[in-house]
Amino acid sequence: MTDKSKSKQAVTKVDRRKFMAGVAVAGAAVVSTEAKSAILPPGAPAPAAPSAMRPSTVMAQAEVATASVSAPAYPGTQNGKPGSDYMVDVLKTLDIEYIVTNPASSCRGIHESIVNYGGNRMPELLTTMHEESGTAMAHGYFKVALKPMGSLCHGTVGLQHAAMAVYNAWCDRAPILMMIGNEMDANVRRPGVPTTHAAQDPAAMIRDFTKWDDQPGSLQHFSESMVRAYRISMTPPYEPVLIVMGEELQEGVPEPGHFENFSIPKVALPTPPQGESNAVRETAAMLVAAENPVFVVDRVARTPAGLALMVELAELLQATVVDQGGRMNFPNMHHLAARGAAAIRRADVVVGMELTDFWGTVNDFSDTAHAQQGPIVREGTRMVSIGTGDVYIRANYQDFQRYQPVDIAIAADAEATLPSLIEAVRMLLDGAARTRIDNRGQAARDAYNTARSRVAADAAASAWNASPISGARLSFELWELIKNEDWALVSRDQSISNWPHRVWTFDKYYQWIGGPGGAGIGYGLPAAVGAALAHRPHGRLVVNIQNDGDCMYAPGALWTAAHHKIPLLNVMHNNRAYHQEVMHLQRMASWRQRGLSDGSWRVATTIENPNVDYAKLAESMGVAGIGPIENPNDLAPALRRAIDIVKAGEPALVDVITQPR
Amino acid sequence: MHRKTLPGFVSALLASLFFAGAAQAADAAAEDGAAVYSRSGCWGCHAYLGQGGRDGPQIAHTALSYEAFSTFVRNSTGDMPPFTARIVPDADLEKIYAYLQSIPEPPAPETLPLLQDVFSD
Repeated sequence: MTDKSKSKQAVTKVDRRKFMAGVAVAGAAVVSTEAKSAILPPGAPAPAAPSAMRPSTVMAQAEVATASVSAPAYPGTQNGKPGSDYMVDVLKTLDIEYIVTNPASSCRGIHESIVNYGGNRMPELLTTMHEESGTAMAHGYFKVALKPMGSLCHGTVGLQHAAMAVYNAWCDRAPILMMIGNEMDANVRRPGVPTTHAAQDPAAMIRDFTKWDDQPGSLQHFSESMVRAYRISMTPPYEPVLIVMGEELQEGVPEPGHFENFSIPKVALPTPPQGESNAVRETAAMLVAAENPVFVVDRVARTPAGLALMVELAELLQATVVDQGGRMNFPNMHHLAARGAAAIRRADVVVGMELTDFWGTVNDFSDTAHAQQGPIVREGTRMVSIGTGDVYIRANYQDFQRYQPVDIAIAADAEATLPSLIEAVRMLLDGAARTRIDNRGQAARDAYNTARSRVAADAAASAWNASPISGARLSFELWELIKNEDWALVSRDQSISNWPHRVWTFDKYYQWIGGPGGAGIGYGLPAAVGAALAHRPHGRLVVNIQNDGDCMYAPGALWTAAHHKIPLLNVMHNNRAYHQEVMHLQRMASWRQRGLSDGSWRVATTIENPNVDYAKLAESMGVAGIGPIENPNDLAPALRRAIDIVKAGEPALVDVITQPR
Repeated sequence: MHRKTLPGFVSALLASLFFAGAAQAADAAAEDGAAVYSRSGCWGCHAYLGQGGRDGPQIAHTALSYEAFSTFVRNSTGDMPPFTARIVPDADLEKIYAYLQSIPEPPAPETLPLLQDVFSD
């Protein structure tokens, strides 16, 4: 029997070393060279199979160690290809451009492999200052690149940091390939953190808001699980997944020749589920017969095709579309685009597509001491839901609202269902229906033009010349400078009263990416950096209207933008407060009849005394900082300077002192 | 001496309001009203110049009489919580009303070049 065959016999008898004959050598494992020599002298027979009897110390050591490790060329070094190189081989098949990481000892094996074996390309490591920031970057990146990024975190500690960003991505249907290091085998753990903070089931803490996880026991298992994770993550509804990578798996060196049968499965992404044909036809009939059909959409357009299909369907029926803004579902300047609940109040058919909150869409809730609530739709209004919410739902950490009864519930991916719904509608259109639809379209055009004509007057009346600067003024000044560029907005705009959506023309899929999903503050800045990274190859001018409170959660994302030369125009919406909480505290004080006039609502809600100097903050991290800008007449020159910097390939920040919203 | 108790940001805010020409009214009640408006947090929903926004309507130059204004503020049952005399005394509410009426009218949109450029697209 050769040494090699002996080794194979040995490893097959010790499950966790199935592919790792040389693991005991790895990383100055607990079994030192001297100790191992004492246990397994050269030429000794392979260790016996584990005994049913409680093993002696010597036998236990023999079971976890292995024989026939070829002598390294240099003492204290390894020969051969380590496990983490195989992991990189797998990652390279998945078209992963980037992995965000905050460096961690439990990931040192794959970290080194990505850099030295993989050449730090496909994937490339991005340095982040916090796991939550890194994961939020991956979240923002996906919504532009439409492919997932990896997020490599330290085991227990790093994953806890990342948890909120994972929850945001889960609520927002964004896939992220989470990867963490862990060391299950106490016998080979290094002293210190790996031993103290290892976990039996590290994925447990985020399992309620990830779609799948696994802790592979071998490199072949890793190969299959990583490919499976990618596929599951990229099957609508898109969600984060987690792979736990054992340190021994990363750092061990499989015996030469052992991986002759190592394989990496091909990825074939499943087609998403489409609506059942009878339910789709019934919905189409309802829409064609309706006087005022309304589509309410949230995360319908997973891809640019979804946007085009939504326009096609709406125009076919001349039906109003209320876009809740989870994605770029519908052009905001289209005559069928509606804002607010007025269209829903008039509707006789409401089709809710990929909504998180259908109940809140067709009901009104007034945040009073008595919590007034009630339907806003007319009696007899028929309702249809299309979405994956019923296909994929969890009980503990929730992402659904109150139960809304509907007439037809189609459990399917909305974008995938749109072609058959369009076709079914088209087949039902007759002369009478077309006349009704044409009349409806003309009425929609008239209403749209009336609404548009009010925008200029509203903007002028919205503290146009005031300091602090109004959201309207900020939005118009920005639009003037970007409207002839290939631009994208990578932040929400509700904090400035949605002025960009009232002024700017959003008609391309990549110009809007929605929000965090889970309402987790600290998403905004890193997600903007991640989205800007995805825009970078296209040379787009990327704008982030950045809330001050959100920025202070994760300002280190600015450093990442500077370090990796990610062009991004950050415009601070600096109202010096967590303003929503200002209003909540005022409301509570008002209900309880106390403490309002003394300004006590400022306690733990405002960010002042001292004021944060965001320009200096940016400068300290290598990002060009301009401001604070308080006079609206200074705004355009400041923005021009910043845009010049961004066009040169660097991030910039303009600190603008703003009205509350 | 209300202002003595105000945080720095409020003082800066008040100064900026004057910079903006918003509180140029000579009326002392209106000037006091700006401070009360700020201290009472009305701007939280209605913004610094009462221009309104996502969370509250415009209240500068309200068409309501003081009596109607007061009745609404004291008895609101809608999204705006009721502000009773216990937390905003009558004297303060009168000053707030005076301030809201004193805010200069906004510029006409046709006089603002930026708006013309945008809507000529």
